[in-house]
Amino acid sequence: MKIRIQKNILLEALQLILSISPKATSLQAIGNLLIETDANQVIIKATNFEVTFLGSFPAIIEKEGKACIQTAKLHNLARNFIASEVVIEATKQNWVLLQNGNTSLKLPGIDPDAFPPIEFKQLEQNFVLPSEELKLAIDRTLFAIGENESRKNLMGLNLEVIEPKSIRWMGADAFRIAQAITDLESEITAKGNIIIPKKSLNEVKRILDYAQGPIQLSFDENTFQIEAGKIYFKTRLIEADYPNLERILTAMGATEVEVPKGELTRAVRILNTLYDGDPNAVMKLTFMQDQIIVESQKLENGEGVDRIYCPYAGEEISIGLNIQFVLEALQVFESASEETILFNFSGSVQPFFIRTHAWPQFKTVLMPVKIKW
Amino acid sequence: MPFSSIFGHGEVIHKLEEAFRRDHLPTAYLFRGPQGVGKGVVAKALAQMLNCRSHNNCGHCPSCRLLLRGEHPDFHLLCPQGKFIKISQIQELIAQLSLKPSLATKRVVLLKHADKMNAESANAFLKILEEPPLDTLLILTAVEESLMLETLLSRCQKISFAPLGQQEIDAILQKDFHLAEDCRALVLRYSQGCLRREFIAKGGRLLSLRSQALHMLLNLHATEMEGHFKQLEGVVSQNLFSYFLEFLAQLLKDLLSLQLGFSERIVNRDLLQVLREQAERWPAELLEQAFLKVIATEINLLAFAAKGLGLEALIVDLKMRLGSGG
Repeated sequence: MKIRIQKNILLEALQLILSISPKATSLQAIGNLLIETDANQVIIKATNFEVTFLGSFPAIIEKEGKACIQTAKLHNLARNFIASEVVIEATKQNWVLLQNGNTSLKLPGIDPDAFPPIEFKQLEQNFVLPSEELKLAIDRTLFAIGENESRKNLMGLNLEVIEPKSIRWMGADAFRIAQAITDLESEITAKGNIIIPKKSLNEVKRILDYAQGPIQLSFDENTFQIEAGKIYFKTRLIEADYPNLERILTAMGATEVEVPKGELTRAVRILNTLYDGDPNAVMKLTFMQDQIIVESQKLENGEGVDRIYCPYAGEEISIGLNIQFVLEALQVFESASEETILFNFSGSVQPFFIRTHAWPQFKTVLMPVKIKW
Repeated sequence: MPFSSIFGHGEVIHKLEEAFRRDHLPTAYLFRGPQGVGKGVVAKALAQMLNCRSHNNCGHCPSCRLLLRGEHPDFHLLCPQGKFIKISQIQELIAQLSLKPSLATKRVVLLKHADKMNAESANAFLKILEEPPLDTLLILTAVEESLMLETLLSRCQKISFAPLGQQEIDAILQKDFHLAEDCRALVLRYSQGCLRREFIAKGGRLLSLRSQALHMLLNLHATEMEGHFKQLEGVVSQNLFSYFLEFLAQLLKDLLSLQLGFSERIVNRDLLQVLREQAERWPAELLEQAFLKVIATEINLLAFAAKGLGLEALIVDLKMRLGSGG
């Protein structure tokens, strides 16, 4: 095999697969990528057996064939190349020769036939979504996805076709839920739900940043797959049943308070700094006549109180919430066009909803913490 | 590797094939038996058969090829890292098993030396056994079953591996290892029904170590002691003391067997002539005491006593017991 490829194209391709192909691994195949020639392009494949990548990139093919080379090493070398074109040549003895300007390198490769078989086929359930919609859905739910390995069904994003023209994306751990609903332009035949591992979502986001336009999504009982232009990506699914959270999501409290977004975010950020980002730190929101008191617990780290004016005429009520959880939820709303967010609640220990008028299809729910101060 | 290429364990293999054929595979097997008897080989062959396209370990289908290269995404092999299987290894396994299989129809987890799980990792593994993932076969291998949690044992179907016969071990040695004739004979004599891989790796050196042990045993004079001590330093520095003691004990046992008229029990058959000549040098009681002393020293050295000092004390002791003989 002998190809000529632009350095920036090679680097872009490598950045897409760098985290798929780990440097430290005992399995030779997964630390390497496979380059195959195909007409006026090269197909680059990488897998770590959890996620699999296949992408086509423009190149000049001087001699057909394939080569297998360590991903991290190729990336580190390519970053240091100066000339705009890289020549990659593979010998029959599995040596890989790299040429860039005056630089010539000879690297040991592995037998391309030893690379795990990678194939992408049309899966049972499939539909098309604009890449921005998919990116929004992931960005709005990713923060709430659990990381506790004892609850593996919560360690991923739940994708559920709820109606022929409606998809629900849900991230949850034991203390919070984020739900986004995407309305489709046309009806789809896909149905059911799958749980996509959290780890894979970062890879999907990276691909979405690279490839614009419509994305073909498909899934079956084992795999979730996306096709973005000439990039194919698939991930194994989590083997579990997603819990039914409908009862919590529909129990939105009758009390609704409209709160200035910027002021509240600033107040919570200050408390978070006070506690040095302690993931267990708790704050108290006290709703009283036309104002909210945002207050920290009085501990050896110090204490903080903030006052935010907003229309409220109900009974005085205090609700305890985890500071980090509130902050992460508020960060999602930063890109919303509205200057205010909505709180819905019905009691101090009932689910606490955060929404915005700007995104009627999105809501996040936090479970309050019992407080005795 | 097809089951047909495995030497010995015919009954075990038949049982496993039957369980697969009748779709009666349990969630977890515990393969118990001595170290090096072939528990892992059988487990890998079973994993290959379960996932082979034609279920006959063809060696050519994608699944077989990946398994043979040790790169099958749905075959998880766990071995102790250091002294124990660590909890981080089990946590990593739990994360892997939370995903759906990649290629396999039946995922296989091979947990070697399950008796080397510490309390934390055993309890973490218990969670997998309590809620086993679908289409997953767990195979644990262990030598010392008594070191395992009862809660783990009760959730596994136990399969016992009997020691291999001499013929089977010889066949494996000839097929998979290229050893000189005398080395192969030594490995075979000291096999104890198992494939002792460390013994095989050190074959040539162990042959001369046995000669050293025999020389010391037959020359326990005061004038020879300095030379013996020097040789023992080498034995300790090369970490061969346990083999040295094993040879010494076996030579004493052989001498005792010859005295008592059980010549068919002799292990060091290639030394029969020398042993016959020396058998009458010491009364049986002295040989018995010396044998017990060697065993006691081995126990002490394995319990971290100073190796060099322990071996020297043993040789001095043997000199006092046997030195006047002949």
